[in-house]
Amino acid sequence: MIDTVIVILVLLSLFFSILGVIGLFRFPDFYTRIHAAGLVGSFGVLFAGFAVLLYAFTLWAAGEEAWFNYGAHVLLALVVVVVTATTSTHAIARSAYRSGNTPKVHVIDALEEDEPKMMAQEEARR
Amino acid sequence: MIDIFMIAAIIFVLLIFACGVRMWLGPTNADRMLALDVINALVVIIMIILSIRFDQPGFIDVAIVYALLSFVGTLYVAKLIRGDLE
Amino acid sequence: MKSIVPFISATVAAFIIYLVLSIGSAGETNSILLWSVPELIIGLILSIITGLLCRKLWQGKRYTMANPLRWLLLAVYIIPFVIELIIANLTVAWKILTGRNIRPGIVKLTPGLKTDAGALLLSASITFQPGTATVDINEKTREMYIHCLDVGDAPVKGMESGKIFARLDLAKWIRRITE
Repeated sequence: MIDTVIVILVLLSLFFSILGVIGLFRFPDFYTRIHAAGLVGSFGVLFAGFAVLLYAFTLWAAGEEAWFNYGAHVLLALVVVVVTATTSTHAIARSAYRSGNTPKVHVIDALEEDEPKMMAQEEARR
Repeated sequence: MIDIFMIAAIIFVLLIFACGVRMWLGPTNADRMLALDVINALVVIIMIILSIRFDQPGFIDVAIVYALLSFVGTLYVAKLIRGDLE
Repeated sequence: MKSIVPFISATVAAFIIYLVLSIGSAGETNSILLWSVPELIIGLILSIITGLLCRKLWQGKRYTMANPLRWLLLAVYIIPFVIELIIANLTVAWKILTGRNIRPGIVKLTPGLKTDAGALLLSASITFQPGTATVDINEKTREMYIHCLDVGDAPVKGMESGKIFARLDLAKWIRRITE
C-alpha cells in the first residue's frame, strides 16, 4: 500500500518535470520560460524528496537502522535545492535584464524606465 | 512490482536530452543557461530517485554536492552573461 | 569581542550541518546518542576551522532574527507558503497544458519592509513560486521588480503587495516574522 504511494509521488514528480520541459519549448521568450523552469525546480524536486522521506518512514516502521541516513540527508538536500534554485533563477534573470535582453512579449514593463537609475546606484556602491 | 523507478529515471534522462535541444536552439545566452539550470535540477531528481532503487543512501550526498557545485557554476555564468568578467 | 559573535555563530552552523550529515554513525561502543565520538571530535575541529575562515561573512548589523520565537514563526510560515505553492504550480501547469493564454509583464512591488531579512525572505518566496520571479530589487527602498506570467485584466505598474499572491498575503506574514 505505502509502496504504491511512493510510486505515485515519483510519477507526480515525473509529470511536473515533463510539463516544465514542455513549457521550455512552448513559451515565447526568456522571461516566461523562467516560470516553466520553476515548475521543475519546485514540484519536481519536492515530490521526489517526499518519495524518499516516505521510503525512510517505511524503513523506520520495519525497524531498520538506515532510516535516518535517508531522512536527514534528503531533508538537507531539499533545503539546499530550495535555496540554490531560488538564488540561481534570480541571478540569471537579473543578469539577463542588465545585459539588454528585455522581454519580447509583455503587457507592461515597470523596470524599463527605472533601470538606468538602478545601474547608477550599483555603480556608486562599488 | 515492475521496475517503475528505472523507467522513470530513463524518462528523466530523455528530458535532459530535450533540455539539450533547448540549449542548442536557445536564441540568447540566458536561455541556454536556464536550460542548464533545469538539467541540474533533473540530475538531482534522478539521483534522489535512484537512491531508492539501488538502496544506496550515499546517492543523496552526491545530489547535495552536485546541487552546491552547480549553483556556483550558475552564478559564475550569470556574471559572464552580464559582462562582468574580464 | 566584536568578531567573537560571528565566529561562534558560523561554528555552530557548520557543526549542525556536520551533525546532520553524519547522523547514524553510532557503533556498538564509544558513541553519544546517534553519533560516534571520533566523528564528533573531527566535526568539532573542522567546524572551528570553518568558523575561523568564514567569520567575516557572518557579520550582521541587526540581531532581531536571533530570537528563537521568530524561528518558530518561520517554521509556521511553511504552511501558507505551501498552500500558495500548490496554487501557483497548478496554475502554471494549466497554462502550459492549454497553450498561450498568458499576459506576461514586469510590475513594481512596494512591500514596505523595514529589514533586509524580510526583503530577502519575500523575494525568495516570490521567486520560488512558479509564475512570479524577482528580476531586480532596489536595495535602498526595497522595491521589487517582479516578472509575472499573468498580470491580470487591468495591469498597473505599481502593484500592492497583497495582489501578487493568489489567495494569502505572504508579505503580511513576513512583516510579522521579521519586525
